[in-house]
Amino acid sequence: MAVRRPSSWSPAVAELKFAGHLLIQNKVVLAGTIIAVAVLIAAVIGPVVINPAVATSIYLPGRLAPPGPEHWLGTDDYGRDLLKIILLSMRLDISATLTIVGADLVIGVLFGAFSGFMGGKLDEAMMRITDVFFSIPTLILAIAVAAAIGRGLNNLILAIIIVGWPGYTRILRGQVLAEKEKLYVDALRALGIGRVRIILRHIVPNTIYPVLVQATLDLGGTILLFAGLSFLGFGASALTPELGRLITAGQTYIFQAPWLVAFPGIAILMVSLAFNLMGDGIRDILDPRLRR
Amino acid sequence: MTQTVLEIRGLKKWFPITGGVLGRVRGYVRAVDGVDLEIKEGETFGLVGESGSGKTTVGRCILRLIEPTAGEIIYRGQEVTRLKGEAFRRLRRRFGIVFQDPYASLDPRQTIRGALTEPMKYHKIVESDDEALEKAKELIKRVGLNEDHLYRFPHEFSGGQRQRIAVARALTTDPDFIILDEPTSFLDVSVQAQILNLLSDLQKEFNLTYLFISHNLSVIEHMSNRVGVMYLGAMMEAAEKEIIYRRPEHPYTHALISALPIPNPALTRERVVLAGDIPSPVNIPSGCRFRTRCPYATDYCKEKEPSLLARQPGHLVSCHYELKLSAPIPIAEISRKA
Amino acid sequence: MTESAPDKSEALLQLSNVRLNFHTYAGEVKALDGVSFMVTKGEALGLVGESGCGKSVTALTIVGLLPENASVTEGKIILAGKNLLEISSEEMRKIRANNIAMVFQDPTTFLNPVLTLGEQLEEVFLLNPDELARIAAERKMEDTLVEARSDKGTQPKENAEGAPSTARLSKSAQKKLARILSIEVLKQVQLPDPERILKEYPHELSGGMRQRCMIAMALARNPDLFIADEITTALDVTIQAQILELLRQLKKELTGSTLLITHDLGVVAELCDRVAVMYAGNIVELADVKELFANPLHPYTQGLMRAIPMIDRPLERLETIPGSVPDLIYPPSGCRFHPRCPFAFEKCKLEKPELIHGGKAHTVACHLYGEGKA
Repeated sequence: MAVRRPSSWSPAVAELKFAGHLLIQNKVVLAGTIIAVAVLIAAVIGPVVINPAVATSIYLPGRLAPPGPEHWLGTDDYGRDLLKIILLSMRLDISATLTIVGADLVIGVLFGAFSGFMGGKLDEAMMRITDVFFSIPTLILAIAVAAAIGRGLNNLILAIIIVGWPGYTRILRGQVLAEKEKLYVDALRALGIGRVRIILRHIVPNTIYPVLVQATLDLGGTILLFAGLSFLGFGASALTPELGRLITAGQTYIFQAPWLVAFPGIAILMVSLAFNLMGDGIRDILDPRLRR
Repeated sequence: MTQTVLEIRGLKKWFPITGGVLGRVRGYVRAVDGVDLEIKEGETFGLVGESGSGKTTVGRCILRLIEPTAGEIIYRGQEVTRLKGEAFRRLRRRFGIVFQDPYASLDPRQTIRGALTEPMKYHKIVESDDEALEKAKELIKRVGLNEDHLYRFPHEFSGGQRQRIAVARALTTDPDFIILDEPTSFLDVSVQAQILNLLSDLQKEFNLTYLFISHNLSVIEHMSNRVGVMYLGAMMEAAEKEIIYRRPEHPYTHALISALPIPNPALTRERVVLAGDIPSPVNIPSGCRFRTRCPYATDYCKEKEPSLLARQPGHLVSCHYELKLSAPIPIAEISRKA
Repeated sequence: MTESAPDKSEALLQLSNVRLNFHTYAGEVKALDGVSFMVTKGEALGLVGESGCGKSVTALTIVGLLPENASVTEGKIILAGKNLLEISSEEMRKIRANNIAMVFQDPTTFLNPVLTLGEQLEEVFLLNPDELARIAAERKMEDTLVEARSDKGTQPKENAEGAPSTARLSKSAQKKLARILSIEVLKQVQLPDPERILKEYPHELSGGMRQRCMIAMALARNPDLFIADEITTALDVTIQAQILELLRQLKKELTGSTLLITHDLGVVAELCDRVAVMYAGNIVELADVKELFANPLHPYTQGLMRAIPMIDRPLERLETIPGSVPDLIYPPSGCRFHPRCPFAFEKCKLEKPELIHGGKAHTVACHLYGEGKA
């Protein structure tokens, strides 16, 4: 028997409201999410306030200054204010991460949906392809692809995208296999509605939740991967404000100016932690709802 | 002479059972095992049977939600069993279906407006969004709901209301033949009455032809003109409703009709109680499939399967023997105050 | 009530003004709104209504198997002199073991899939060793049950109060007797080849057979009250016929009372002595079965009977009850049926009708039948 709610909410909105209700009840998750959001806001707002030209304003006389009243976090080996550089870097890392996960979501969902719904040889082929990807550890695969594609920031992003989509394909395919047996799908077929439309307009919206949750959980790991590979030398060039790069550069001066390694490291930690807490919170809240 | 809208000849649907390491086919679930039927324009054909009878599978095969293993489906004289592509899409517009479970047959994330306008727009039955909306409004009112219900989601409606929506949706493509697959089984009695009345009204208004599938004998009796009784994938008897319910000639039909509890405590029911359980469609008895429970079965019944033959025009029976009832099955006399 | 017919009109179970709410995220569901009725010894009472009317909830309240979010706010349920709503859970468990048996609609969820039928049936008998000892004594079976070698035979034991009870059987003797009784009870529910069935698991049996096993398990304890909740609803017509015949037969053989919950008026007409009609958490009519069908008084009962397609009635259209079942979080004021009632008048909105006499052994909760308003 349907309990009629006072107003007409779409299922998505109703779920969000329920999720919000649960969120407020779980204090730890709430605290974590608030901190995470604060960090992310700072990372986004900062660069708006700061002039990007700071990245290239080299002032060698002031290099390697320790943290002090003028430069709160000190300066790097190019004389740039470390705080400003870190904020700019956070923005770059975060946007790179979001791009990567976003692209992987789109690719993974489309592949998973069509593969799962159509079945047959297409599905077999897709499963074997994803098997190949899963048989190699992510980091090694990412390094291999990045090395093959070549250096550069965009190439690194592309490499990680290539490596990351099979996870979402697998998850979504599983959901789709169950969803396509549902009665409303038969109803749509009986009405003569074509498969492509059924997949995109009906199947995907109903199955995407677990994938979205996984994506938010992946944000933390992805930024680590991205910064890590940058640290190894792929991706950003010397002057580009990027957290991994900063650590690479700071390595050389680790005894003279340890803050050059410490602060970017802490920044990476905070962003990754922020993403993780958010992702955990979202998963905890949505998890019982995922058991459809 | 009214035209025959739908005819089925020798319809079979066998589901293979695979097993073992190599995935070999070990056997078949013979869900539909050779079914013939004919439905004329404007009439309601009631298809009745218990679990394993295959009645739901027949409906799905007609709509090609499942591909038949063998047999022919003929729509208005044209064979459509293996139709594909554009012609098939156009055919699907002629057919409609209302499913049993009102809670699962609508996409939970789609508004009612979307559910109704989507088929119209997809098949280009309308030329604009506005036209689609207008038609949707007409349909939703015709099934007894309001215009503002269009902007709501399925979970906000009761079972009966969802079935009304399902009926409206079936009508969006202007079909002339609708399959009703247990449309009221999940509904309460009072709601069921509303839906059945609605279906009757719509049938008259739009000159629809119905295939009404159900296990509920009272509902079938109320709604149908002709009735077919299925058992384990085959048709045991098919005739006008009065004959099936009062003077059936197949022992299974007789047992089925007499099994109905009568809502009249003043009458005692003389019931034919069948022994044993319904066999599994994996292991259909040899010869006549009903023989394991038939009170009159003989050795001949074990050897040879009877064919569905017309004993009188319009009355088909699948049995080697003739069942002569000493009196027609009694109808309950319920006296009640005005 | 005469006393010359002992037990005939004596009440076994009495519900008085039971009110029950469910706490849900969306609000308080007022599921039972003052339910009162009585089941006498040896009778079969039918509880009829559509989904959501509260009939299953009533049964679960009697048996004490309500979910966490339910709370009884008022009322009494008296069985064997005790108020079931006030006793401890241990006492309630004993009553469930010995006095009440309940069978549900779906036997699959209530039979343990990893135990054979035999193990489950025997478990029921083994719950009550005193009863087993009594049966063994009655049938003079003690000797046949005792094994030749090392069996200790019967042992005098003290029961809970400290007084010496009848001698209990040894464990192995108990098991043997339990097995014998299991086979007997399976025969009683007309299952063929009971010895084989004892060895099978629930999934190996068909729906009808499982339902019979459930009935067998319920009857194994010879309960005073047998509650059957929609036990034929999920079955095929011909299997339902078998179960109905079985229940008719058992009704003649057994002495306990039955509370039969169903939405099928045909089943009620066949099996019940009296019928209570429920709507939205209230009993709206209560009468002898013949009287109810011949002369339904409450507009809901009348509407229900006219909405059912019946083979004798060649109607073009069924009569419908307009509207739908009310939301029990915000139920209608006064009589809960008034928004759908063709005869409703002012009083119906304001005041909830009580069950009053509308005829011989016939009570109805409707203002149409109040004083001066026949």
